[in-house]
Amino acid sequence: MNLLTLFLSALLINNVILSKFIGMCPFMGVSTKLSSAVGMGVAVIFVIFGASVLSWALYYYCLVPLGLEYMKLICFILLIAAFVQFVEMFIKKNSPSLYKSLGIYLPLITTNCAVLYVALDNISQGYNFIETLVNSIAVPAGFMLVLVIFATIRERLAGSDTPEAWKGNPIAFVVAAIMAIAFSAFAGLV
Amino acid sequence: MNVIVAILIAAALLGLNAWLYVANKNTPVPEGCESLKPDCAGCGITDCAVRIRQNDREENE
Amino acid sequence: MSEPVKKRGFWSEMIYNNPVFGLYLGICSTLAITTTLNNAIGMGVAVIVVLTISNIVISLIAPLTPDEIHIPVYIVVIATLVTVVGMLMQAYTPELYSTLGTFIDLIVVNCIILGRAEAYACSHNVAESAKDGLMMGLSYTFSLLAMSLIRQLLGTGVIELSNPMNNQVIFSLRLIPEAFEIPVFTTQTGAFLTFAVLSALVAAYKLNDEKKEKAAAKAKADAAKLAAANAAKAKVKEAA
Repeated sequence: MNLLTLFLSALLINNVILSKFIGMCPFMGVSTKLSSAVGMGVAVIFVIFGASVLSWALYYYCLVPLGLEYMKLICFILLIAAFVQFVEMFIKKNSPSLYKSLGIYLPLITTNCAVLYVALDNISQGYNFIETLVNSIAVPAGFMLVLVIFATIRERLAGSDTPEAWKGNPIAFVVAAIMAIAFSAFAGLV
Repeated sequence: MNVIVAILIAAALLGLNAWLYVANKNTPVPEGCESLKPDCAGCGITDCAVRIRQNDREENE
Repeated sequence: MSEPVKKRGFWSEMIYNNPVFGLYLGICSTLAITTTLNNAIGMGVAVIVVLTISNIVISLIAPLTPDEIHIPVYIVVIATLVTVVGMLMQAYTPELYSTLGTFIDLIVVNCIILGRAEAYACSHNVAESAKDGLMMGLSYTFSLLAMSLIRQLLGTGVIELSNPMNNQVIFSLRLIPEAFEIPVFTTQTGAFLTFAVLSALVAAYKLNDEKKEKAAAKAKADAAKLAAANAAKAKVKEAA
């Protein structure tokens, strides 16, 4: 498959949030402020890229030769949890400034479904190593793109006069619905 | 035989997790980051781990 | 839940502590798979099974688990259960499995399950945990059913149920003529909109409930004040 097509389709057309509905929890949770949206987005890109490349290697170099494909779910989720711990420790030691901006989002990522989704997707689509690299960067980039756009809208929304029952998340879902319409226009891109 | 290997792999990954958890916990938080607070206002997810931890911390203080 | 415990009826409890529309847990799968009733039932049953068994197992092993590895151990328990359920579905309901796709695997990271393990099962006994898992799973399933009923009805005009084992249609009823279908409800946009409306309804219910409670509390306080005033008056009279 053409790598550019793969990149664009994972970034825009099959966007994780608006088209696959994956990673909704952090999407609703940290999108109230632009600064936290950027922090979460960067942390997610970092973790998804690392964790899914590692999972790919674990699957093809360890589980497949041993005939243990059924272990992939257990292995991947443990690998992701370990990787998140490792990244947190590494940042703490080496870059306090980075820790300041990403530190609180890292523990959240273990249970972010997007991480496991990308790891499983790379396997189920049968991607080779290069395609895995491209896919693992495009998917979280799409996540961050939507998260940042959404956060800017929500910052404006906070000051508007919404009915009591619609305040907070319900109105945010309406915004997401409108964004999904906008993003569905990308379907003709490739 | 295969089952034993499978259990070994899972155990190894669990061990890795435990080791990294302890190592991570023992690494001191860098200066100036001791009281980082997530921005929980406006988020509806009340069962979220970050919020629970923050509430605990506030109760302890 | 850290909220003060209050006796509520079954349905009121379902709405008030609804994991999906009230607490915003497990939204991903709710939005993604609720295009048909069949999907909703399949997913709901899978989640009930995994949640109940994981709650039971975790409440049993929680006292034995060292604190350092409790999260990875819970994750292993849940992942094992999900793998088993996935394999069973692949064998007996292959069609359903292929439509639900990765969302069966993603039950592992469904916030409801790990959330219940952390918040409830690790500190309660087996029976209580099993009951909690069943209740949470049921209210999750009801949310899925509500979403999928609305989306399927408005999007395709038909309510249809089929047997997941052999794909025979059990029940099919056209309620809206073909010319008046709103296909947008079967797309992503429809999912977000339906969810927004349902969660706003739950929020409105909660607000109304709180208002009523406040009014009741105020009435009670007023009555107490009145009684106190009357008692004081009576005392004054007695003294006179």
